[in-house]
Amino acid sequence: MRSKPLGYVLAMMLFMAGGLEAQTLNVPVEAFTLPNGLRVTIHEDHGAPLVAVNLWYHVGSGREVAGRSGFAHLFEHMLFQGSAHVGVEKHFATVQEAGGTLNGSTNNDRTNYYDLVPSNFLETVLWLESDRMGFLLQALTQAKLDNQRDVVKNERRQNYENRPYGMVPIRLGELLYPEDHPYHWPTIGYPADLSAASVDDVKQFFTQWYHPSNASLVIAGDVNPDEAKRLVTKYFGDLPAGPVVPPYAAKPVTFADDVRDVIEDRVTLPQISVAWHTMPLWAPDDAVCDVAAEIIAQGKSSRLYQRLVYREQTAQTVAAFQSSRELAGVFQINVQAREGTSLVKMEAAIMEELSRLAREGPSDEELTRAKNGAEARGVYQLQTLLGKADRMNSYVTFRGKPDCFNEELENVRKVTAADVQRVLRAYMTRPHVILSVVPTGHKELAASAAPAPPGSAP
Amino acid sequence: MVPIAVTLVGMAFAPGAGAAALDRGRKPVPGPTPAIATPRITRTTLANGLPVWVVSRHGLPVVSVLVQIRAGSAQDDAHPGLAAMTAALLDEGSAKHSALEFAQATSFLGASLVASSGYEQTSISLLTLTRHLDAGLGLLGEMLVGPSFKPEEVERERTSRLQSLKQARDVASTTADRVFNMVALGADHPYGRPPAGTLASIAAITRDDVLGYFGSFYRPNNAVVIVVGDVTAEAIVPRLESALGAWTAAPLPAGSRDVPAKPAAKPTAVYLVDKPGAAQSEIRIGHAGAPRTADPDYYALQVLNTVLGGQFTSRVNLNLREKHGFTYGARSTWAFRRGAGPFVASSGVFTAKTDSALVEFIKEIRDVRGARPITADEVEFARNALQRGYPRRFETDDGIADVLADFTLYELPESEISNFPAQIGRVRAEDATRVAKAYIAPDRLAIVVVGDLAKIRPGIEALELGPISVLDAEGKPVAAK
Repeated sequence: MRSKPLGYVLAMMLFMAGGLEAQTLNVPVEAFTLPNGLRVTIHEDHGAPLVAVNLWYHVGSGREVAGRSGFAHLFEHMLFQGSAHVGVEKHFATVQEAGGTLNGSTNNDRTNYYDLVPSNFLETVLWLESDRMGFLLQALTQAKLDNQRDVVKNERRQNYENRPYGMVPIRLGELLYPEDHPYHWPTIGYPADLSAASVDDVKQFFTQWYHPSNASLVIAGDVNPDEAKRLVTKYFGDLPAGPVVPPYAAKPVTFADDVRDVIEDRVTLPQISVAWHTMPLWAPDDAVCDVAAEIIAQGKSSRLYQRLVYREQTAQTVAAFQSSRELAGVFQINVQAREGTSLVKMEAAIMEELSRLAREGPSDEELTRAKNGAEARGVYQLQTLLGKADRMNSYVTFRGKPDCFNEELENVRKVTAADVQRVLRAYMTRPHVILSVVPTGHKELAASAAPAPPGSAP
Repeated sequence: MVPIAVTLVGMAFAPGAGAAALDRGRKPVPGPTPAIATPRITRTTLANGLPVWVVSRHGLPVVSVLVQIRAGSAQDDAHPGLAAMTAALLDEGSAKHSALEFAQATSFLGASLVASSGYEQTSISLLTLTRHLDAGLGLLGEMLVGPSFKPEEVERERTSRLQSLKQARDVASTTADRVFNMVALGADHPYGRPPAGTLASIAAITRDDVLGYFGSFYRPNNAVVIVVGDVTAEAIVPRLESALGAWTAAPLPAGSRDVPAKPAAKPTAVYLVDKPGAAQSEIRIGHAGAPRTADPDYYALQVLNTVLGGQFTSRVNLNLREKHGFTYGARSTWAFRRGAGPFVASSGVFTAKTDSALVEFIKEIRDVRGARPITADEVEFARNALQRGYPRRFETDDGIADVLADFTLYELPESEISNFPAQIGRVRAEDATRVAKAYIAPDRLAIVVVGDLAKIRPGIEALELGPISVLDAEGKPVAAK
């Protein structure tokens, strides 16, 4: 018989709080910290005989030094090349032979590594993850670095250089942030910087950032929490804490004037991106921006879709989102215009619809729809162990505790029509970035100058 | 960094407390394999003959409803793109709702309701919170029983699809897939012609064509409903009767259930599509493969592909990516359909290494049949990966619905759902080698490369792989300059 210590909630439950009240997202967790500083979260869910192991290191491209852009991500690749006790090329093989999937990803603020395996392989994965946290450098070689440098350059070619509109995210970062801001350069890096990365850089980066006190581990799935805790202690307990991590900060960015730029690309349809500086993750108005984005340009019910795609038929796609990160956030609207259509018209429509929404506010129907959508997505995201585990690590890393599912949902629920109006007036009236992508040789389609105010002569 | 609330529960965390020093050189031995819980299916039939499969799972207040129509682009016949266009119009207006009202009603529920067509099936998938199930089913019913296909919506959809087709030509990987299917299987073959259609075919499709396709194939006697999630069969059946009861059966067009014939592979030939300035070359190599059956060959092919190109640690990826650094990733896939879908090895490679990558790719395809035969160790690795990986397919409601949908589409015995690991377990190295020899023809490959021809063509010509043709993004020959 398995004893259930007080305070554990063994099954993940989700219940309706009666009447018209909305759902509560109940994701029971147990959190503790090892003496070496490793934060650990265990979530028990026996819905499938699987376990997700998700490990975050609180370091991303924002911590890179001059001349080494892309290094955090290149480093992420090196973590799959084997460690001292695991052996060369054995990391991937061990997880795949266990029937598991694995990967990692790097963004500005953090790097994550994740595995989903049959639950009887939990110990195997903890062995792998602890070995590369503690003993990576003994297995490091120049040949491995050279190979992964080539792989990463190909990743850049595939996902940015050879992809239509692929340079947009890189250019937007450069336009939105000054050169010394951690979000100025791309996570994928510049090719010359990737070429310059050395084995010494790997050693230094590993020593500075990859240690228990700068990491957070989530185990979610078909586990016995006592056993999971015993295994975590066994494999991670004796790793040294590592140096103190310096503060990570950036000054808010403001523009005196709009910033406009044009990219010529091998594309058929012109595309405009308009981006405003807003606020970082978890700032009070972050959720208000999410709601505004949904009303403006998410899905067929949104204002820009109905106007540009459906009624006027001058655009092919519209999108809007609040991209909030640890140090700063951006509210962005993208419109792909129909072939040969001027982006000047698209920019004017975007600004008109934003002004209208700021002036009149969202309807009750729009506001309720956005909240219903957030609630449903809040539940849907609990369908996968990896999804839950990654979310919990985001909460630990940026919010200081693993269970913020309801807090996040509540932040959307409490948004009012007046909030949407206030935030649009406060942020989306400021100078911003306007980036046009036009077919090569068709700069005349770009939104290269401010549109005339409504009512003035054309 | 944000300080973390610390909760210490239970035990001491002193390193090595109560245990001998950890021997990290010893790989942990896994515990016993957990039992695979394959879903328990309740089957029933609505009054109009529509089969209903229900799997109850009450972990989350979510229900997934999948209606699978047994027709897709393979039934496009003279109108490439017709299945896709019909599916896209299902939610663009009904007797009850205009297109915009329908979209508003769906998003108001926070539900996802999506129709999409494949080669042999069209899926209408609803994902909803349990408490919105009735409203969601009502909308789903409107898509199947009463779409209005208004002329102005057909025109709007046509314009949008023509733009998408032009846009697709900008994407090298999409162009490579499209051209490969045309040259490897035949531009008029049900699996060779483009499911998205062509500029000419989309321009020519009429509202009557859409009505004809809908009336022919969207029938309860040509469909199945798979419901997975927080609901019971007793609760869902009356609701399905109410949402879909008005849907009526009709005989299917003669010949529409015929299995597409496997096209004969031609001697190896190279097809180039120019993409000036491309940073990478998109490579596709292959020919018609094998059908989805419960035959031992199917399971042996799964093992073969796991060795050759099915996952990160497969031969082609370890060679092209991890040994040579030519690419971000290389793989091989088999599209197992009612008939033989394509076997294709694919990758995007650095422009300057295009010829070297082709050499390595073809070497791997050739060697797996003989020069470097599949070893017993490789087979054990692959069997383990496939057997132990199988439960991941049952993690979510949608995942379960997809597995079940495949079994009904390919008319496989239900016992195969739980037999998969055992079937894989029977595959030996000689079986994998046998199917490699039987199904891979290294002298009859269609080789498609989409890239910067000014830079890559001389190197490809020097390989003397076979006759070279230059095609446009639509697969049409380009006149020599």
